[in-house]
Amino acid sequence: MQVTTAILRLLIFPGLFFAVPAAWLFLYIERKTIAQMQQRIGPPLLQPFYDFVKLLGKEPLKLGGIQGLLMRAWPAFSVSVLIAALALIPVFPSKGGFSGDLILLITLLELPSMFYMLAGFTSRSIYGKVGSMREASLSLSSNLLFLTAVMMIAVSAHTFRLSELAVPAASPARWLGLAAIVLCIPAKLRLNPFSTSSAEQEIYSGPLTEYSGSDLALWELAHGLEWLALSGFVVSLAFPRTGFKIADAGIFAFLCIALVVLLATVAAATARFTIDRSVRFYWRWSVALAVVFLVSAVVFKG
Amino acid sequence: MKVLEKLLSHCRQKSPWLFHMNSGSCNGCDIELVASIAPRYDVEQLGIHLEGSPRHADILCITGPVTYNTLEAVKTVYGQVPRPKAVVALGSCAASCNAFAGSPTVVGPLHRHIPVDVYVPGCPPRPDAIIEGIAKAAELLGHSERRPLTDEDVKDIPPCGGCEAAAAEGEEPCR
Amino acid sequence: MSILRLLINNICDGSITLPYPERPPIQSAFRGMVQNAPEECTGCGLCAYVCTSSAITVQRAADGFRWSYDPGQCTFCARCTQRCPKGSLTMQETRPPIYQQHGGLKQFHDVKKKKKAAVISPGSPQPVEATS
Repeated sequence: MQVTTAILRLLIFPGLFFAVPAAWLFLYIERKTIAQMQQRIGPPLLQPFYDFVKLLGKEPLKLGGIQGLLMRAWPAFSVSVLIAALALIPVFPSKGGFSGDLILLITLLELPSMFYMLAGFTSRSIYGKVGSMREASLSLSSNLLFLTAVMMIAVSAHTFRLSELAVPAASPARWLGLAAIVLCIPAKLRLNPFSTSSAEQEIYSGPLTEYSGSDLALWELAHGLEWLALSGFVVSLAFPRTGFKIADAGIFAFLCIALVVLLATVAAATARFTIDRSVRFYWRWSVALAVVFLVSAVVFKG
Repeated sequence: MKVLEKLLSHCRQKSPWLFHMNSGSCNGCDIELVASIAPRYDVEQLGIHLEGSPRHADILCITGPVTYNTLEAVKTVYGQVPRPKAVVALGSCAASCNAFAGSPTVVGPLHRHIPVDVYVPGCPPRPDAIIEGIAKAAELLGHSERRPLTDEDVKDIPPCGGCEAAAAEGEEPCR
Repeated sequence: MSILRLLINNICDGSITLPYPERPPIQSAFRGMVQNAPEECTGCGLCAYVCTSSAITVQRAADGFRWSYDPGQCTFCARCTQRCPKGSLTMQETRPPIYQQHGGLKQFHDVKKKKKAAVISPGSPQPVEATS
């Protein structure tokens, strides 16, 4: 039944009960990789879980009125949108359940950074404002590259349906598009070198400065789920299917973890760019890729 | 729900997030605190994370004798840390004003203004001593019967022991 | 690409972290807390005079003196040990411990007054013994 499959996908796999521990695992892998690169030991395996439970036990925000309501709403929206995006990712391409298309997935993946920005403006602190402005500039520039790459992938495969895109194609447009998406992921996840919107040394945590307690726990969870959603999205469009579900799941998990290790390595190896340098970086690549996209759209038109 | 309370206490001990504040110190203690984050000492193995905002932190590490200019800031930041919280006074300036006791711009050691849980002596304290102090504060946070601190806790703090002679003569200590 | 080589070296060399609760060894001539040998101390008060942070105080009474020291106020500069004329002050080669109460490490010792040595007249062949 479609509804049952949809609910199972939303709640069990790759929905809530799978996604939350997987998000914690990915956060652990990121921190451990960065620590190993710096010749440190790093946190223990259950550290993101300990952080989450501890934050749930802290005193919550004391704001009332529309500001308090909105500040509590943004992280909750962020987490729920990411769970919905995870339910859409075509790990096992099938015709039942959510057979949404690429546009819906891209929209859902876009919203968390917008909620992050709105949280900074809602908190009415100067640090939040500066962090949100930086996040807005970064999002504007990296989204151009992201959307151009997605369009190139969709046009080269002649479809927007995820279940058809999940079959890997050998076309160079697909691989170029995926490489461009991987280039955008550090900006979306606020990793080095594009971590300027939450720069501790400058703006005291940026947009999340005024958050505490369970709302902060949800923001951390949203960060982990964003890791999972973005790497799952890229890997699900790229990995070869064997036809056996267990083998597919294994290869998917392995490639996701490999992508996390790669991005964490880049984060450990680089320093933070200033906002104008980040924006310039993405606009250059966007212009280059837009030219390639136009050429390929003309070539693949038939 | 005893099991949930035990889980919460265990997690509070395993994940102490730090906020560092300088209330007029010479930066020696601050440098040693930052050295404890470096690879040789690596506080992240205990789950400690240096946070950017006091609202994200559990443990407030304060260095320096509280100067007149930073007094309001110290009280404000202490109020911004959500409960349950612990305060670690790093170095001998925060414990007792060190060489600056009696100066007109120093308002007194830290415990005169906010309740302090752990003192780490040294000038500056070694990074491993700082880690021991923070681990002790995390252990204090993990006791589930630790009540949240209220304003009542701050009111009846006795004057600094170093100025006992001045207080015995009826003079205002430390100003 | 030297950062890549640095990362590869870092991974191959492993971590250099001291796993908690291991601590690095103390080097010799480490300046820890000041300790006083009561039998050598004469209560001259020179250590209190040169102390940078007024951590040492010597209070004299009719029948002796009290030497008190607050490691929480000490700046570990070793001026007291350098100035002590009897050499009764030394610095421990251990780290000062953390404590939880204000003034928790304060220490003092009381020394009762020593009796004065007997005065001899000039020319006496007997040596003088100072009674304690």
